[in-house]
Amino acid sequence: MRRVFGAIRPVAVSTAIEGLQQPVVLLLSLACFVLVALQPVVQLHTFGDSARLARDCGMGFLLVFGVLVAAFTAGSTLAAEIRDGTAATALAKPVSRPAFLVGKFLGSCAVAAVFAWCQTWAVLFAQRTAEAWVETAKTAGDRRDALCALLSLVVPALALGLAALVNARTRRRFGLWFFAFLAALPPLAAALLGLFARDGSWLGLAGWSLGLDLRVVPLAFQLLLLVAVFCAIATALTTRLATGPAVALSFLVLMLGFLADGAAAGGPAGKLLYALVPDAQHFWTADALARGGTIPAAHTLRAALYAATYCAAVLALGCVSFRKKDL
Amino acid sequence: MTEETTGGRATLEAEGLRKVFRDFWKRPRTVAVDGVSLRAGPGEVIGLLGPNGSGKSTTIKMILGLLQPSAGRVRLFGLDPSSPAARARLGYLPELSNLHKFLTPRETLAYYAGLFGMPAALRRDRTAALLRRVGLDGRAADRPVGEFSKGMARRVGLAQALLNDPELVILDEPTSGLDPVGRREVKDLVRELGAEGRTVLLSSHLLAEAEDVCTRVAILVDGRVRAEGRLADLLERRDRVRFTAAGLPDGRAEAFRRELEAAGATSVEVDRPALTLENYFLEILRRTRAEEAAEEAK
Repeated sequence: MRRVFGAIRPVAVSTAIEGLQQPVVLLLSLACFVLVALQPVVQLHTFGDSARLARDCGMGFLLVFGVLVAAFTAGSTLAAEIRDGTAATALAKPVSRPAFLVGKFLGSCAVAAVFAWCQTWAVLFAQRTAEAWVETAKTAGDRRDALCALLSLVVPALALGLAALVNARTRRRFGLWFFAFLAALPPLAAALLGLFARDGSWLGLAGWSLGLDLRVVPLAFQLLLLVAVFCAIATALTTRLATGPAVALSFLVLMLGFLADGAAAGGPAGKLLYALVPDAQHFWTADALARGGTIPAAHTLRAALYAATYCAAVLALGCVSFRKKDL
Repeated sequence: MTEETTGGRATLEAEGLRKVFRDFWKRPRTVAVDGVSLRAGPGEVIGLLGPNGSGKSTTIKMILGLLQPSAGRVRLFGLDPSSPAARARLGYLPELSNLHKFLTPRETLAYYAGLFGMPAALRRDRTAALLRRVGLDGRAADRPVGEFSKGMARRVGLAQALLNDPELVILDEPTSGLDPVGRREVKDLVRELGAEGRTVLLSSHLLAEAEDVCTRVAILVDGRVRAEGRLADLLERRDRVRFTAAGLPDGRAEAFRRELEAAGATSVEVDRPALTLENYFLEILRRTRAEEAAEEAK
């Protein structure tokens, strides 16, 4: 039993390494980070809601780009391995097909988690950039945190530069090191930002404060859970379908998931739809953060349990479909 | 192939294998393999020969449990081929090397070693030893496999097939993409594996290659076994006798030919045995390298 399920880890690790080195995953992550960091700078006429707009837009980007990253990892890894025979080589080893499938799913989730970690920092920076609302006798408007905006753009540029340097000097792989730097630099940037007030004045070590609105973290985690559900659907579908149809069908299920709670109030067909597709509304709770609100930990926990149950059910179906598949 | 030829203890038994590929509506599309039976024991090198599309790879995949047979049964070490216990004792090199292009050879072997559940220390030792054995130690071991030539990728594939020190080695077109030196190394390796008492099943459409290493062959055409048996039995011409001699003076050969004809022999031929092109090529290569080494030593 240990031998059979012990295979999950190496399959997951190799899937994650492969996924993080896909050029398309790097480009999507870079584009998402820059778009999230830039959007508070280009917002106009926000009437005091600039922080909320930055947060909601940032989370929207995180979800859309996260789903795209998952599509390129979960949606393609198993289908490609079945097509090119890599899966056959692995499955000629003492690995059960369910363990292989679960390993592929977890590897894809790991890529999505690295993506979500990086983009959550981008949203935190975007929020801080946009946050200040200034009213005087003559005028009112947003005052953006220019230093934060600058740093949030410097982070991806520096990650690219450092990864290129590591690659040039040591021949280590560019993609992996880019993500290592993109994950490690934001906390350092946040620590540095804490030394400055929002207007750019020096606070020093004595006045250091994080200055980031961490209430978005549970929301980002919930979106990661939704991306994991997407990964499970895409992984299960690719046991029988090619990448294109599997990803298209997964998108459709996700879209239906956003409509599912409305359908649940309808007739039996609506109830059936609600039972089959994941209720994406459980995971999109950005409105709870308006006017200083927070997302209750109990809700996040319930969302995690719901996602875990849904993923387990979908993967179980995937295992049944994969059990007798000719490779 | 009979029980007598395998000494009773079969590593691999396949009986009446049949594979029908079906279309989307489950209608039969192609009969890829029809009634193939094989039996192999320790120390045997079995060649599965046939032209492209004759069903060699399909047979191998059914033996490995990667394809579900439409009829027939397979046992490996007396076990179902999908059982982890059976798979832990076999090594498989697919027709195409099928490697993860972003992983290095070292990571590739570590990945497959992980699938065998090897402890870290053993994994490191086996990886290092196999990379040396296939000539990929040094810098090549840390370059992504996607950058490799077909021949280099084939070497990584071979290394992964031997990772678990297998008792049964299944090689699908093992020399495809290799240069003459690589081909010779693979042939030597296959002979070595057989001599160590392992069972080797190899498929090939290169007959000279199979002739060099196989103890027995099965010839597949259109999914059916058309001939099988010990190579020596299949190829021996019982109505012919060959003499080979060294040091015979010029002119004497003709006298011997006449003498044989006088004794009643027909179709007598006298010729000089030739090297194979492979041996000649390797000899030239060896000589060139020796000269280069001597030059460098000066």
